[in-house]
Amino acid sequence: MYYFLNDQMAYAKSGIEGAEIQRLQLFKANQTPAKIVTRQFALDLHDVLKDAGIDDTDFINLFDYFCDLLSTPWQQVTVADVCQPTAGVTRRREGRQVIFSRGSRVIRIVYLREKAGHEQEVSNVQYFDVTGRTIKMSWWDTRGNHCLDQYFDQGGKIFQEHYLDRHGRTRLEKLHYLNHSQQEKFSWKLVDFHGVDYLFDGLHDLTRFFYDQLNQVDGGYNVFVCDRTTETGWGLLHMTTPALKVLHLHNNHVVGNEDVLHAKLNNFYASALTHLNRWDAVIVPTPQQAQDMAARFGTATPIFTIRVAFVKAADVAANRLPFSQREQHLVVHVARLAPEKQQASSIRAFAQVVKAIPDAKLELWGYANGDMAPKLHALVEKLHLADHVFFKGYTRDIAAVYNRAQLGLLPSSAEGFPLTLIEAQAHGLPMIANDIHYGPADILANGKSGLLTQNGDIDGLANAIIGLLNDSTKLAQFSAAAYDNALRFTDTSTFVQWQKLMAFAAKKKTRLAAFEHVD
Amino acid sequence: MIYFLDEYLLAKNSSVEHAALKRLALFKQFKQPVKILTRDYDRLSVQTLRELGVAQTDVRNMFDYFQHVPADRPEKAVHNDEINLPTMDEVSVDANQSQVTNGDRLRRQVGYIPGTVGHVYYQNFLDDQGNLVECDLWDARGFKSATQYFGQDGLLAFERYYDLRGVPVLDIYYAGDHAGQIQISRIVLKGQTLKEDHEFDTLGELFSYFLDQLATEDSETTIFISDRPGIGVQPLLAMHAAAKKFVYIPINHVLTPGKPRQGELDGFIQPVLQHPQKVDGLIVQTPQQQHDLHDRFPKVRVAAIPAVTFDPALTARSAAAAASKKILFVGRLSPDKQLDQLLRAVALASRQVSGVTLDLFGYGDEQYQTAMRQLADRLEIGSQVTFKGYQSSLADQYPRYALLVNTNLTDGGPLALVEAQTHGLPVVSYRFSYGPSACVIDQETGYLIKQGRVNDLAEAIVRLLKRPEQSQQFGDHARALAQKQLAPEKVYARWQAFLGLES
Repeated sequence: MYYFLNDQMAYAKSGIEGAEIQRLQLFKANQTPAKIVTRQFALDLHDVLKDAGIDDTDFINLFDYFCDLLSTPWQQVTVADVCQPTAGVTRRREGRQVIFSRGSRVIRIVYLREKAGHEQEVSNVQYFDVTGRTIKMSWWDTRGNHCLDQYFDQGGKIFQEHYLDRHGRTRLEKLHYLNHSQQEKFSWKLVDFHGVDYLFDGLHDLTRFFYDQLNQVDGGYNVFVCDRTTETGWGLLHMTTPALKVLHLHNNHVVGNEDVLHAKLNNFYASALTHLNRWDAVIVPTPQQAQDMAARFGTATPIFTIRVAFVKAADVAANRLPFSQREQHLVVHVARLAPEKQQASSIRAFAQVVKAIPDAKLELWGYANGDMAPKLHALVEKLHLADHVFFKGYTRDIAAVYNRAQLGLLPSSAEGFPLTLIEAQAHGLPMIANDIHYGPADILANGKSGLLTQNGDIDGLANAIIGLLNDSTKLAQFSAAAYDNALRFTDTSTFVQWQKLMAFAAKKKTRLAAFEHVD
Repeated sequence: MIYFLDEYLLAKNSSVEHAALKRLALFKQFKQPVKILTRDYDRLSVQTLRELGVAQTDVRNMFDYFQHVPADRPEKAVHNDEINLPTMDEVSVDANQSQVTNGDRLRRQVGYIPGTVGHVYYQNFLDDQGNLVECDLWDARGFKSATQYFGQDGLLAFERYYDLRGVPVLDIYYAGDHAGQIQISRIVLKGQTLKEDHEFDTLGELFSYFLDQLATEDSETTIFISDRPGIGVQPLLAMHAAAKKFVYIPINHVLTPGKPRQGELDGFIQPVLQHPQKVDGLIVQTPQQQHDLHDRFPKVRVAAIPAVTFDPALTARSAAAAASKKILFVGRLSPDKQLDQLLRAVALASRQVSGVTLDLFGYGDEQYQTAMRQLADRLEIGSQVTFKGYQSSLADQYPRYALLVNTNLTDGGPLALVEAQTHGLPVVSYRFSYGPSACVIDQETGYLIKQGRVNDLAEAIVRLLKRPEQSQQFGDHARALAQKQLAPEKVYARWQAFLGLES
C-alpha cells in the first residue's frame, strides 16, 4: 500500500494537497492501491472530500480510523432526534439556538447547523448542571455522526474530549491537563484498542502508533510518502514496525538560489536532510533539484525525480485554438498576490512595455495575501499604469484566462513547483519566467515555448516582453510549441517516473522481508 | 413485593440497618416476599453482604439495577493481567498498589481490595506530567463498574457507570470549589437513544425514579417502607407510580427531647407529619412515641411495632454471668449517649463493689472515644473499661454479662435494650423518649433512672451486682415477657395488619 501522509484536508488547499489529489487519481487510474492519510480532526472532513472528489475508501483520517468512522452512511440529525419534550421542560427558539429550560434554569441548548440540508439539523448541544455550569458539549459531524463530546471542569476548562464511535462508545480521548509551568499540555488515551488501553504523550506519539497500525496491511513494509515533514515526519521516523519511508520535497531545499552546496537548508527540511540515512528514498519534482541534492548529499539514499503536476494528453489536444483568437497584446500574471510571486516586477517592467507598446495590457489574477493588494495598487498609481494594469481577483475558470492572453509572466523569487507553468503551456500560453530554483528551467523549452529571465532584472524582463509582443509570428510559434511542450508532462509519463520508485520499493521490501524469515 | 428503603448496608451498620435486617429475617420467616433496597453505590457490597450473612438476592441496589447487574452475581477476583495493560509496560507489584511504568514514565497505578491478594480494586491513569486524569473502579464481582474523570484542577468532574458489557448507562456530574465540597450537580440516565436520556438534579430524584420503575414492574401491589428518613421520605413523596408507602421512624421525631408537643420537628420527617395523607402510615417502635405523635397529629396513622423479636434459639444469660460483675453497653459512641455519665456511675459503683468491668460495643468518633478513655483513666477505672469496637452480631456476647446499661439522652428505641431482654439480661437505663419504658419494667426487669441522676444509676447497678438472685429473677422475668410479647408470629401479625397484607 502507498500512503500519502498529510496533516489535514480543508477547503483551502495549497499546492501540496493539490499534488496529493492528482497523485491519488493517477495511482487509481493505474490500479495501484494508495490512500491519503491525515491526522487532524474536522467535523466537515467528508464534505471537503466530497467537494474535492475524493472517495471515502481512498482516504484515512486518524480519528475516523480509531472510531470506526471511515465510511458511514449520511444522515440528517434534527432537534427531534436528540431531545424529546418532557414534563416540566419548556422549549424556545432564538435564532439558531433551541433552548430547553426547567423553570428558569436552562438545562440544554441545541445549536442548529448553518447552511444545512434541513432547517433543524443539529450541529452541537450544550448541557448544563443545576448550578448553571456547562458540563458537556456534544458535536455532530456533517454526516450526522455524534462523534465528539467535550467535558468542562469546575473552572470552566475543557479537560477531556472524547471521540466516539457510532454506538456512542468512547474510543479515543484527548486529555487537556497542565504541566508544571501551568501551561496546557495535550496527551491522549486510546480506549480498548484490541483489548488494550494506551496512553500517548502527544499527537506525534499517537500518530506514530497510527502509522504502525496502517502498516499492518499487505504484510508490512508499506510505502509512506511524507508530504509534510513538520506534522508527519516524527511519527513516521519513530514507527516501531519496518516500513519504507519516502521524503517528498515540495520546495527548494535551500534558502535562495545561490551556492546550493553550502547555503542554509530550508527550515522545513533541515532535520530530515541532516539525517537522510533514516529515509529510504527522496522525491524531488525536477531533474535540476535532483542534481543539486545529489551533489550535496550523495545518493546513499536514492533520489527520484517525479513531477507533482501533469496534464492529460487528450485535454491538451482539446485545448488547441488558433492564435488569432487571443486578445492582442494581453499579458497575464496568474499567482497569489504574495511577496515571493513578485507582482511588483511585472508592474515595473510594464512601465517600460507600455512606452513601446501603448495598447499593452496586464491582468493580475489571484487572491491577495495580507497587505499585498494595497501596496501593489499604490505602485500602479505611482507609475501611472491605472489604464494598463488590472487587478482581476480569483477565478475558478483560469483556463479561460490562459486562452485569452497572448503571453504569461511568472517572475517569482521562489517556487516549489510552478504548476501554473504547466497549465499555461497546456493552454498554448507562451510564458516568461524567472530562472529560479526549481521548475521554470525544467518546464519551459527556453527560446521555443517561453523565455527564462533573471531574478531582479526588470529591464531584462521588459525587453523579453516587448520582444515577443512585437513579433506576432514568433509569438504564434511559441504558442504552438507550448502545446507540444505540455505533452512532456502527461499523466502517463508521470506514472513512468513513479514506477521507478515503485520498483525500488518492491525490491527493498523483498530484501528486508527475507531477512525476517531466516530459517 | 415489599421493599425497605435504605441508604446502604455497611460492614459497620447503625441501628437503622440493624432494624431493617431483623425485619427482613422476620418477613422471610413468614414467606413474605421482601427485599432491602440500597441507594448508594458500593462496589464491595458482595463482600459486605457475605460478612453480614445476608443473601445477595435479599438486597437490590439502585446502581446494580441501572447497571443491569444480576442480584446473585458472585464474587470474582480480577488480576493485573485482565485489565488491558499494554504488554510493553512494566508492572512493579506491591500488596496495596502496583506501579505501571513505560520506560521512565509512571503511567498507571493499580490498587487492590483491602484484605485480598491482588484483587483489582481501581486503576489510576496518569498523563505524562503526572496528572491524575481518570480512575477505573472495579467491583468485587469481577467487572469494571465505573470510571471517575478529573478536571484540570484535580477535582472529580464526573463519573461514568457501565453495564456488564462496558456500555455506559449512567453519568453523574459534580460541582464544587474544592475537594471537601463537591456535590452531585447533574445525573444522566442513558436511554437507548440520546433523546431517551433522563436527567435528574439529585440522587434522591434518581431514587424516586427507581422506585417508580420497581412499582411499575411489580405485577402485584408494591409496598415501600422507608427506613432512613433522610433518603427515603422525599423520593417516596415524589413518586408517580401507584404504590403503598410507609415511613419507619427510627428516631425521636422532635429535635428537643422532652417536648414532643411543641418541639421543632426533624426536617426529614416533617413532610409526612404535616401531610399524612400522602403516605399510608408511619411505624415507630414504642407505644409512647405512637401516643405522642397521635396527640400532636391526630390525622396521622401510626403503629408501634417492636424492631426485635424473640428467638428461642438465642442463648440465655448463664447463672455465672448473672453472678459476675460484668456490665455491658451497646450503641454508637457519641456525645448524645452521654457516656461520661455512664463512666462516672461505674466509678461510683466500683467503690462499693470490687471487680466491676464495663465493656462498650460500638463504633464512633475517634476523638470522642479518646476523650472517654482519658476520662476513665482520670476516674481511676481505666483498667476496668474496655472499648471492644463494633461487632455485627452480639448474640454470643450478651449472655456473658450481668446487666446492660444505657445513658442515652434520646432515641427512637435502642435495639440493645430489647435484645438484652431477650437474652435475659436486666437493664439499667435512664428514662428518655423513646424506648426504656416500653421494654423495661422498673424494679421488675430492670431499673429506670431519671435523666442525669448518676448516683441513682450507680445505686441501681450496685443493687443488681450485689444480689445475683435478684438479678437472676429480673433476667428471667425479662426473658419470659420478651418470649410472650416479642413472639415472631405476634410481631409479624401486627405488620400484616398495618401493611394490609393478606393472611
